[in-house]
Amino acid sequence: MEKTLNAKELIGISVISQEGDPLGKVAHVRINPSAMHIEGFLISRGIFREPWYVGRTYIEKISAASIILTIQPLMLLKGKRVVDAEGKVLGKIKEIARNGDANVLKSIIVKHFFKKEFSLPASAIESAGKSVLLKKSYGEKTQFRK
Amino acid sequence: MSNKKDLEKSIEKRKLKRSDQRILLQMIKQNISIKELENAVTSDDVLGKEVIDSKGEFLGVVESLFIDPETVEVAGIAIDKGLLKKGLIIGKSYIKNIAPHAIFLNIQPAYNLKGMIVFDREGKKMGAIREVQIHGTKNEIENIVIKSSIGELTIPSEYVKHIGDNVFLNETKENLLKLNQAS
Repeated sequence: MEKTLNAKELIGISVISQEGDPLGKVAHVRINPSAMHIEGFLISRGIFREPWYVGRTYIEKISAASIILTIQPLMLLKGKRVVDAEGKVLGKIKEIARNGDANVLKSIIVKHFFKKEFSLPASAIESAGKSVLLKKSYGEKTQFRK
Repeated sequence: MSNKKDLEKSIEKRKLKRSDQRILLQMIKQNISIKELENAVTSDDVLGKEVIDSKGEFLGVVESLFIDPETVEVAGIAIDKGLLKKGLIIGKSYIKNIAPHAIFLNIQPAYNLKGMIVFDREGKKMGAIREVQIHGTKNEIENIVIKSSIGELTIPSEYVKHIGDNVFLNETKENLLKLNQAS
């Protein structure tokens, strides 16, 4: 039992994403009673924010200090700026669509002031960091799918 | 003749400023070669543009464009990061491309690590980066100086495992404290 952790001690510890973003604190530990293993964790993100559930497959490391994930949760993309290949800011991410329940991006919904929101497929994205950079440029007259 | 006409048409089709279009069309009429200028941009196109690093962070706007007077080549740019913030100078080798609306870099400037939270191998928070020490003038980190609850810690770059929105180290807090005390 020396190298084990007491499940009680996991409640309230920080959960950190792959890129080092503090996501919240462990609110619940979910256990599979037949397989006798941890299924996942419910992460509390504060009073006014919906908690997140993270399955065991996304956990890289559990220590007494924190839980480090193997992923950057897609929900973190919300609110980020979307920039095309010409450096033009197309808007901010209003919503994301995933493939099923997995942390795999299907598409993003982008909204800019005074303009209608539009959808872009995951394949249009070059990289996602502080902003989301797109692979190509989108001129003023580009028709976007809603 | 047909080449001239084709050139003129291609200039008119491109989204250039009227003044630039006029200059290029004048040069064609005077039989001055504009081959090198066809895809060129002016300093006006660069100054005042947003600069975006490889992680998509908006660093500031181009304040100055530096030219090497001996080679007549662009040497780099100075970035204005805003009121009360120290500017940044970027060499041309770190510029990925000059796009119509922004300048893209192929790096995340090391100085941008300042303020990031540092976690040890166990995910224990060590503190925030107060200073980044780089190798000479290159964008290579030599050490990071962390402001922690027990004072300042200097961590060599070999202990940096991953840099994302914050920094992960590849050693435990306890071992790093011992190393700091020893040195």
